[in-house]
Amino acid sequence: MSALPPPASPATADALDRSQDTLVIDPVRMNIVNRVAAGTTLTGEFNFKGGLLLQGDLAGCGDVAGRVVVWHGARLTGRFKVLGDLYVLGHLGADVDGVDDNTEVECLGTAFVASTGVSTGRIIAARLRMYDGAVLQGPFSTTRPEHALPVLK
Amino acid sequence: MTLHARRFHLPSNHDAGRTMDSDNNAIPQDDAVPEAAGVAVPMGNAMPVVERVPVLLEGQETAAPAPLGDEPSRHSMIGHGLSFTGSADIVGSLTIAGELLGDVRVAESAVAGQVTVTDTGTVVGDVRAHNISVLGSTEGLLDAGGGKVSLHSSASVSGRIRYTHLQVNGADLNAQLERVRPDGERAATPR
Repeated sequence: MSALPPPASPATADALDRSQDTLVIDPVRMNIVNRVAAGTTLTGEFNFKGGLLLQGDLAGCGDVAGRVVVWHGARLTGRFKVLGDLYVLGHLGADVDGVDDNTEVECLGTAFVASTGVSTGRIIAARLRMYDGAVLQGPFSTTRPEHALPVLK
Repeated sequence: MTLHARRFHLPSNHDAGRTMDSDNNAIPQDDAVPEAAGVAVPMGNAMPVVERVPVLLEGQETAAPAPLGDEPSRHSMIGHGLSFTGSADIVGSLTIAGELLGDVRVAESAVAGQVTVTDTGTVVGDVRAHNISVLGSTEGLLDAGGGKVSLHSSASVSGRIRYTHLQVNGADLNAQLERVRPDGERAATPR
């Protein structure tokens, strides 16, 4: 998958605003083999062997060896390292007015923050793609190319 | 033996009735059209192409914002090769293609309160304007509280950003981000 969201299929794209970028999420092609369903809350230390689709709440710390999709209404809090791309359509960090110092996500790929995404935590990523309407509150850092590790595809 | 990956079914914004189905052990149709298995999720408005960002280049006078009625054009430019040290109070819009060491402030009452730092432009200091577009390098505060900041892929930005609307397209960014709520937005809501 390229660093940018692939175009939607024509049939789907017709239903979408053409001025918008779209992301096609295909769990098989994206190697998303883990899912936290809506309504589920997991707290603890995690080590995901593959991508993660987060539709519920995940709190704690750990690594994700693949892509992470934080779905609409989902929330990720704590300290995580993502070895692929990060897609934020929901929440990253706690609901606070300022910055959630307890949330830090290091992403070795590109962090995409959709127009519905809200982040109050610290994000470290190789690249950032943020859409109008998204909310980033707090520090953001891009990793230096010389320090970059191979990104899992 | 053939291993088949298990396919999740994602809820779509346009098909709220569909749900995830992890218990369904049906073998996926791997020969199906790949896109048909995925869900297209709108991410947000696409960034404007760089060629359409209003900058004033040599020999391209028409690229400047058109004056309104009999109003004179109020577009200022720090050209490529020019180094400017000091502070600037701008009425109208400003394109920075050179080097600026100091602070820039665009009058809040200006309709075209736009500052554009081109890919050759460098700013070390604070920039305050309603709309700020960066294709070059900035170091310091970018203050567009109530307005919009656009960081293009060639941008390198460090320091602090105050914004109400922010678009980033792969920029090299090391900054503290602070969102300024627009008038009328409830303080209790996170967005």
